[in-house]
Amino acid sequence: MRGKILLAFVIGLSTWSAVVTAHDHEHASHVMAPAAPLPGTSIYNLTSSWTNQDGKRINLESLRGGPVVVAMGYTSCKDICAMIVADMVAIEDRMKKVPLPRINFAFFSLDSAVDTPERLSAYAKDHGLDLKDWMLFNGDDKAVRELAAALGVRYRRDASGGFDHSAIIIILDADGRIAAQQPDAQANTEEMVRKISALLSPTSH
Amino acid sequence: MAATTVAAMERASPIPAMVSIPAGDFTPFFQEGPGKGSARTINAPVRIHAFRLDALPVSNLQFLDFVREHPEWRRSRIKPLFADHHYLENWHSDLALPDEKAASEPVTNVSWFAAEAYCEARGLRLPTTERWEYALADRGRQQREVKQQSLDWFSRPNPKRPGAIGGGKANGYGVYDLVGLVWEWTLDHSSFMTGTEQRNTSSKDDAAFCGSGSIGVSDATNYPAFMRYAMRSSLKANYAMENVGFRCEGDE
Repeated sequence: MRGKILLAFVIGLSTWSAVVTAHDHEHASHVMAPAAPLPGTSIYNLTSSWTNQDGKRINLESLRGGPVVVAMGYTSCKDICAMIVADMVAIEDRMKKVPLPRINFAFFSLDSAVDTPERLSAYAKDHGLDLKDWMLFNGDDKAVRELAAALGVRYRRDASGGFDHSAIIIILDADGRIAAQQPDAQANTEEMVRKISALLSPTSH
Repeated sequence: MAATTVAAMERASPIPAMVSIPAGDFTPFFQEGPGKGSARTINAPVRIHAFRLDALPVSNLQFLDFVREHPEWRRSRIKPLFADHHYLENWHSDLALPDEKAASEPVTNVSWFAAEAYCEARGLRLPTTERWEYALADRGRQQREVKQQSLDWFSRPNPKRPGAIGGGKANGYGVYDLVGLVWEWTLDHSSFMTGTEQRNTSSKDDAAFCGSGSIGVSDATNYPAFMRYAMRSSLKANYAMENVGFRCEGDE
């Protein structure tokens, strides 16, 4: 997984440094320097650790380096969660058609007990998720609680063992700041793609 | 040190830091509808396991000890992800309370993240809404007084300072100040979702929920309970408000 993130990062860097080099050669070397401190509003300030669909432990900061499209849900959810994932895939398909670096998609499970890495891996396969840019995460109760609080996702276990939860898609910028949030029921792929493209375009910085 | 507040010192026997809350059945105020695959019916009680609860809200003095040991939670170092710019703004500086009196007043202007970090540093956690409400329900003891006290509290304008903790009467479990001093953070403060509670989001968000969403209440005449749930759910985890404090919960 680290490799995939790194790859996305390197691709991002090459586009970025090409532009930077054209303007100011000296600054290009700074791009390769150790990462600057995280902005205070970055979600990546959360130190909780997560396990991905391959059973690898990661911390959130390793997602740093490019925009990430994020949602929280749980795999045994039949209705809206599947819609959220479908809407994220629509963004992914649309982004593949534009000449911009690949971005990452992250699904964080609310269901610590049920959504084991194996289960997440099976879910990814069943839904045809491209693991070149998708990551699915399991975390403990505390990790889930803190991430949900930071992202503004409300959730609550219901009587049938599932969850009532906000269905929102969140776009994080390269440093993990919330760049956009959209209730899924109104997911507008074109608008989301526009917002991501703006984040990827160096002229917007 | 924990319970050695001015108010406590004036008592014959000091207030213990934490009290035991025995197990029992409790009918939560907010109820799930018997929707989608749920066999549960309205007004079904839930079993609450025994737990320990701080007898008093956390004081400024206690919170000062915490930030002394955990510099990342000092006012000048706090990250905006974890608390907004009102964080501890009523203090004189990072490590100085406004005056001596403040030591025995409940800490306010603390975010959910900061409250959780404080409890965790003590090996505790924030109480769940259900357990907090269970402690307030006090096995039905003095509930009319509690309700009246709540209504009186709501009808008073917010005072400049909340007043000293432990000044009033303990409930049947030995818990003080659940009502009348400050609102309190709970672990899952934002998890009770109804249309009217989404005040921080656009009205279009009514469609933005996954799940039954049909929530009823066990006693529609319980105005103070509506107020408590509405207040909690209006908070975001990084809000630091002048009338919101907290206490911690632990295993029995």
